[in-house]
Amino acid sequence: MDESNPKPKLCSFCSLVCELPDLDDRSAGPEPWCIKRSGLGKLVPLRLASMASAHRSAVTSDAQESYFESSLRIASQQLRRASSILVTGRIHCVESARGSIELARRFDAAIDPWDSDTASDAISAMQRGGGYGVSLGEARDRAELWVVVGQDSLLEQTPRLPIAMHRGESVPLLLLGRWSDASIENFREAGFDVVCIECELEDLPKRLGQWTRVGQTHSESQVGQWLLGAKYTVFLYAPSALDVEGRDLWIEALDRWVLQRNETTRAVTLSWGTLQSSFHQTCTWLTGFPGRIQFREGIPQYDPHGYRAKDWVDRQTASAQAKSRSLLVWVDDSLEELPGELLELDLPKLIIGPNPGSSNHQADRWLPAGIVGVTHTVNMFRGDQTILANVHSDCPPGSQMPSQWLKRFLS
Amino acid sequence: MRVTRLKNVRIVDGIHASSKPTDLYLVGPSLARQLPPETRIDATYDLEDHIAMAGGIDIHTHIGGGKVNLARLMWPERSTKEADEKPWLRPLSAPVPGTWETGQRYLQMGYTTCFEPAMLPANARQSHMEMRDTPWLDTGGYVVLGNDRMLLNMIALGAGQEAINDYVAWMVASSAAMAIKVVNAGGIDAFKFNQRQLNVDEVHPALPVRPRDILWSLSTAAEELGLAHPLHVHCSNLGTPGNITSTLATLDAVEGRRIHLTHAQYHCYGSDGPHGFSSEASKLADRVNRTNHISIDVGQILFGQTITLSADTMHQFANRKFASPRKVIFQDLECQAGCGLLPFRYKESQFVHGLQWSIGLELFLRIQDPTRVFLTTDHPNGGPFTGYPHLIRLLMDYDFRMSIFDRLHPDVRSVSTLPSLKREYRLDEIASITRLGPARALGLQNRGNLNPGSIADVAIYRNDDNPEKMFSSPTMVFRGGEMVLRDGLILRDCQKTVLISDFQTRQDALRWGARPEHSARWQKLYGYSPWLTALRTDEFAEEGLQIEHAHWHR
Repeated sequence: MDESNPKPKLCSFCSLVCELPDLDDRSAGPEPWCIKRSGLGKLVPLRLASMASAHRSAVTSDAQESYFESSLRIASQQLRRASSILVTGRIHCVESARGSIELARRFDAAIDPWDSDTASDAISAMQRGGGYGVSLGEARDRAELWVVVGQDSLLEQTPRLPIAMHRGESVPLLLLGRWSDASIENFREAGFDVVCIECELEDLPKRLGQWTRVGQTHSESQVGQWLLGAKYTVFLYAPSALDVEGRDLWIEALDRWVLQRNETTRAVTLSWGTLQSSFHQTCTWLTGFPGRIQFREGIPQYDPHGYRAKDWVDRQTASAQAKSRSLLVWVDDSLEELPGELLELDLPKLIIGPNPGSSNHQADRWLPAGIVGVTHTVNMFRGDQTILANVHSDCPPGSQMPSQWLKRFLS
Repeated sequence: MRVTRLKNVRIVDGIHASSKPTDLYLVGPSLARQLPPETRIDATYDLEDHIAMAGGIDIHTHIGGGKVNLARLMWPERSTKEADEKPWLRPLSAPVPGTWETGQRYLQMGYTTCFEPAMLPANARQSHMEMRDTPWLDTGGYVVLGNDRMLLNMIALGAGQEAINDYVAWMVASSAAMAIKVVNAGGIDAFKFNQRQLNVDEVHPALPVRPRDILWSLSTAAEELGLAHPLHVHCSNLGTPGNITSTLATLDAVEGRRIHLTHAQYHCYGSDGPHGFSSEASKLADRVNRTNHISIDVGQILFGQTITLSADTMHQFANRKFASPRKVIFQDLECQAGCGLLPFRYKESQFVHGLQWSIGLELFLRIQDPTRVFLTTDHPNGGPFTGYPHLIRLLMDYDFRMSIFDRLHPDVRSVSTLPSLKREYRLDEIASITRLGPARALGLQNRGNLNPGSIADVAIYRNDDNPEKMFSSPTMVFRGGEMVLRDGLILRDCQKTVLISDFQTRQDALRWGARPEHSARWQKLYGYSPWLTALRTDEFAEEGLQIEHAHWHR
């Protein structure tokens, strides 16, 4: 398709569609989701755009290129010599995921994104019991009742979600959990008729069961009446915004309850994933597993408990001998600062990303990478993991993408 | 240009009738039967006692997309149980393995082209990307329509066939699809409104639309747009006793237009007999034999563990109680369709499963024209594609077929007419149901045969009295004229091609999404621009894929 079609307008940071009128407001503040129009007419996050221009100037000198070539050579030697390798990081696009997985396969490494506990809990719950899910577009069009479960951190992570959820007509929305007045107002401003019921999240699956016993057509409680009356109820939650003990069991219980509701009516869950969804999806189609794998002779072995990135780190740092012969490959599609706990690790590291951090470990190497969706076109999943968006680059590439560095190791 | 001579090989492609050994040349990416005498030959292989077939084509196999990936995700177990119990199935590492294993195992059977039959328009990019990561196979996909609310609204409002054609053309083009598939026309959307069944002449609960209207509109669009492959239909009432009525009504609904019925085995059931479940395969086979505009793929079941996955949430949900192990995943997706997944174990000792097995074979054996009945298991629904060599033996060897039939539930043995069907497939008929027929049905003139000028995708098999052994392990496989497999070992990677339907209105189709009135309607329904999910052809080039267009030769 080579027509002069309008480019998809997508926030490359949050993966949400940003064709929303208020996002054109150039006076918006400088938080990551603020958008401006770039010269090519595409909406890009302000902060990413400024980072992109900074990057171009940072990597054009011959001296730096020479340094990076030398880093690549040394890192290749480290990869060959290491007896235990972990590929980890903040992997947000299909291209970086593919490269990381291929690197892990080639060097018989373990691979797992850095903060994968949230995703792992959601995946474990699904692997045990399944559920009835929904995509954002379907939920937006079909919902007769929204039930948003969680706490304020949901909106801190995806502040534009209420606008993306709303179809332009009045729809009731029930907020369950711990919500501030600001969050309630956020949903109201998006157009929902909001009722907030404060409750302990831990108890929620049980409470739902009490409000709507099987076979019951009438409930004493107002919530129960709403739940029983709606013909298509959408339960929205983000696993990363659920501060509950035993998150996987909590999700499993909610999913089971929702699945059961479908015996007589229609109810679905919309689980809003993290930016690492693109990694988990890609890893699943390439290897059959969502991550937390160790390659042995090129064959992936899956153990959601044994091959957790941070557990690998604990194992390697516990032994002086293991420490010296291990290598942590950090693949970064994020513009956030590198985690302090990573920089403090007494392990050799190869960092491929836009940010060098300030590690003092003498064996650490940095290969600078561009910015997904800004300096390079990449594919990223929307939070509901249904739509894989091709996020166009707007700026001329300055640095290589992590996937391009990874290819050079493999060539 | 590299030239390879396959000397003294017997050509079996369903077209060439001679059984005498001959020479076949691979000249670069194409085939030739004769060469000028001065031609330099780079490699010669004396293949006495071998046959050459075109690379296999799987017209219906679930290898990429959201539900396929969910099926991978829901089955983290790795078990050797199947391998121990049924080594003849040559089990995969999981019912739905990763893309690398899928490509490898297809190639190791001599298959080179596969089609994902259920791409959700919103999710087409993911489907293509997974297929891009499936090595050694050329791939394409069919876009799922017929439950998309935009189309249903257009039919309900009487938008007219011309407007529907424009919309369908856009959906096919923007999904980079080969064809249109309809799954339980209107039924998936009806289930979103809590309706649990929708027959061909029943009205949708929220819109004045019947499945018959949808089937007519889409088959007309496929015909008038000139799509190479006819409407690919998953009928209403999947797996339901007595569903032969709705299957025949579906065939009537297209009023003589070309139609392909997929996994037909699941759609020709009666409700007679001691268990209220019987075979009506003869009725469907008779209809296929009497007309020439119908083709089918069978969707044969093979005994063992699998995962069933389908866009047909209505019927998958109805079957949830049969999940084994007991876990199920369902999704309602993007005002376009849905998906339902449940693990399932087909057992020889179970009456219904035994009769399903028998019904699939009946279809193969009763349909006379082997270029209109295609070998599939609807992978992974009926069983893994790695069972194809076993299935070929079932078709070619009556005694072997009966040896398994004799193990089935006694009531199957008493009601099934399978023993009376003594037909044994010949090799050229196997070539037709696995190569020639699918290629013709898809409009791929230069695939599925060994004609001069066709693509040099060739599988070489050593003759063997046991067809299962023969088709499990080709001696050589060539892709685009290069040998990529020898004696089971994969030698090299190869160029991949994505197959896309071509039709006269492609340019118009792509302009559809830019028209303000269409864009506004789309935006209102989905909340984003139609271009967000539309694939550009340069995305394929960036991924290193070639593009091949299929044409309908009327």
